[in-house]
Amino acid sequence: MAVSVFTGPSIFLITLFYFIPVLLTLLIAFTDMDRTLQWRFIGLDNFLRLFGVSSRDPFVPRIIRNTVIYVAGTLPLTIFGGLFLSILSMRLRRGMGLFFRSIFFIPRAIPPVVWGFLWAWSFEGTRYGLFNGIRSMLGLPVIHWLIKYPMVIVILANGFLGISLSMLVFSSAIASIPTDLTRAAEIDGATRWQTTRYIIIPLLKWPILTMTAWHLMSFVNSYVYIMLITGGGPYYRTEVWSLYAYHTAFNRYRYGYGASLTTILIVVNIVLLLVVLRTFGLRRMIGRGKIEV
Amino acid sequence: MMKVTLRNLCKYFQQIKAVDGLNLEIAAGEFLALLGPSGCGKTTTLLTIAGFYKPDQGEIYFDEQLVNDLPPRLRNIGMVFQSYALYPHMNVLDNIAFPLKLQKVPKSEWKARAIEIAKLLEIADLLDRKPGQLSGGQQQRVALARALVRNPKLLLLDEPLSNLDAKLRIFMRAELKRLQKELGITTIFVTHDQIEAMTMADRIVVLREGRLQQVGTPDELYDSPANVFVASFIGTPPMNLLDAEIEVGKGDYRVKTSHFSFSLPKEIVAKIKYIPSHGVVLGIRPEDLIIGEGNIRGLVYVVEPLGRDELVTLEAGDMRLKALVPSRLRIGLNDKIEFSFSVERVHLFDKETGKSLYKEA
Ligand SMILES: Nc1ncnc2c1ncn2[C@@H]1O[C@H](COP(=O)(O)OP(=O)(O)OP(=O)(O)O)[C@@H](O)[C@H]1O
Ligand SMILES: [Mg+2]
Repeated sequence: MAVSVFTGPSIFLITLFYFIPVLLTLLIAFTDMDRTLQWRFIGLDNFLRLFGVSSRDPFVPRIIRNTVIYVAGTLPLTIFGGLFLSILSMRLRRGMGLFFRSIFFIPRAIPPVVWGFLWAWSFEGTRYGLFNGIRSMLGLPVIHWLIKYPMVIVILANGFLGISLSMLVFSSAIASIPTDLTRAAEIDGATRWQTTRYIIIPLLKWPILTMTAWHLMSFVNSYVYIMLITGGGPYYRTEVWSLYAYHTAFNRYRYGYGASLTTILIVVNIVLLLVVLRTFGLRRMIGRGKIEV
Repeated sequence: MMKVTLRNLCKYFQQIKAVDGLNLEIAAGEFLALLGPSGCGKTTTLLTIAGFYKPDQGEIYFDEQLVNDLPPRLRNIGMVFQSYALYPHMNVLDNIAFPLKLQKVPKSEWKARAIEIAKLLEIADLLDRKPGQLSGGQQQRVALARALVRNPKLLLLDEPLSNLDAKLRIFMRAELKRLQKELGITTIFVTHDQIEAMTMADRIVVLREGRLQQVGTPDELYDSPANVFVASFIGTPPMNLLDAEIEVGKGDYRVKTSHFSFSLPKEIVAKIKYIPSHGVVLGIRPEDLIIGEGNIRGLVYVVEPLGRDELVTLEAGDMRLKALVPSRLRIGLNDKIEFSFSVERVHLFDKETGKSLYKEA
């Protein structure tokens, strides 16, 4: 009874702001709702179009490819970058390490819009952009970064955000490894690199898996920074699935088709979630300590 | 077999002098115990010898080689940590073989050597288990096996028996002593348990607040403690320590306590370096008290049976003394008794400095 008093409000809010929108989306996916907001059910038409069965959507293969490249770029950057930097920072002296980690935490502490525009401004194609400004001071011609390397820039911007979280998680996990273990390895003849490779990284197994799962799901759904930096362009080159769904619904006002794109994303999310929960075991994931000692 | 020499070794943590001017020579093949109460700097000494801490002053020599700047991995040391520090993600075999794998020893060889040492320590049937699936005693053996597998020149053991239950501890005491003699590895063994040090070590180093109090064989420490601290630390039950004064008469040295007095025998007088003016501490071992005869009167305060012997606490004036006597004496609570002690076996210390008044043997 007492429990429901406390959990009641949050359950209500979750229902209101989570389940109801999901349900609405699922319903709208079977309509051809547009800016007139008419509910007209058209059965599976949206999905047939999406999968290229009838009047196929020519952008879909490209969007899929973009999404895969985007996730395949950001995820390793986040995990390996975070791992590398946390190991590096834990080797620095305490004050230095803390300073170093704080710097990498900045992206998470500032508002997304600022972070997005920081990147957009840095890689701006005219000499008013940061890097082109430097280039023109050195007498070099400007480079149209966002036209030449849009995907790389988008991956870096999101990867750094990922790193700022994964590095924090990995650092605290490393800090909780007993010193005796790394000392034992050293006395056994291990170099620093060998201690890292054979002792520290294996002990970070759970934090690494958790961060991988978390960021996989986060990157599959992310679009905010891409929208802010490239807007999905130039000409669909950085348009990932969720951004495409957003554009379809809110720029072209094709709510029905946009909802069906979102539905696919929801299904992908559910599948990913199940895979993650299966491999980790739910209880282990939320109930276990950070490192295996 | 390797000799280890510590010269004026110092290690400070800010104001704390964890190791303060330690001079020590550890002979090749020797089994040395570092003994002292908690926080006296035993672990710090060991970690400094292993190379994890750089000495703030002083030198460490392995044989004739100065090793101050040699990293731990190149010192060829085997070490068992207080926590055992087994690698939790590796099974027992991989734990033991880890030092060999790092040396790129071929698989057939590291496997054979790891199994050989596992057999020696009777853990060969545990090779597939993870450390989390082992008892404390088994973990301790695995840690020892890992330390020994690459034939180190020096073995460092940090309270390896303190996590074991009483029975296993006594068993492992003997095993470890035997193993050390069999392998002949120079060994430094840290413990806060004086019985462990007495029973196992060739020589004992007593430390207090980072400073060396006395080095010697177990017998030397027991028979001629260099100061009050060593006297009270070595021996169970501990030595009785009483405030006293020495009065020098014509050819006669008389020790006076608040309750009794006695003349020092000639052989003791001959050992005394000086007579302090500010008083002395008289030390009498519990087993040197003789109950039932003598001219000191006392009251039995409590009797603690120990099986073969009994530990009797006596009240005499404002003093309490412990006596170790055979059980057959049948002493009862509150019995009025007379007692004496072997005067030729008493110890005398300077009350101010705590140092023994006796010349070194
Ligand atoms: N890394 C450190 N930083 C600061 N002080 C330390 C550190 N390690 C040890 N000390 C201090 O140095 C002194 C000696 O510590 P040490 O661990 O060597 O004691 P020990 O004799 O091994 O004690 P125990 O029997 O409890 O293990 C203690 O006062 C301790 O608080
Ligand atoms: Mg210690």
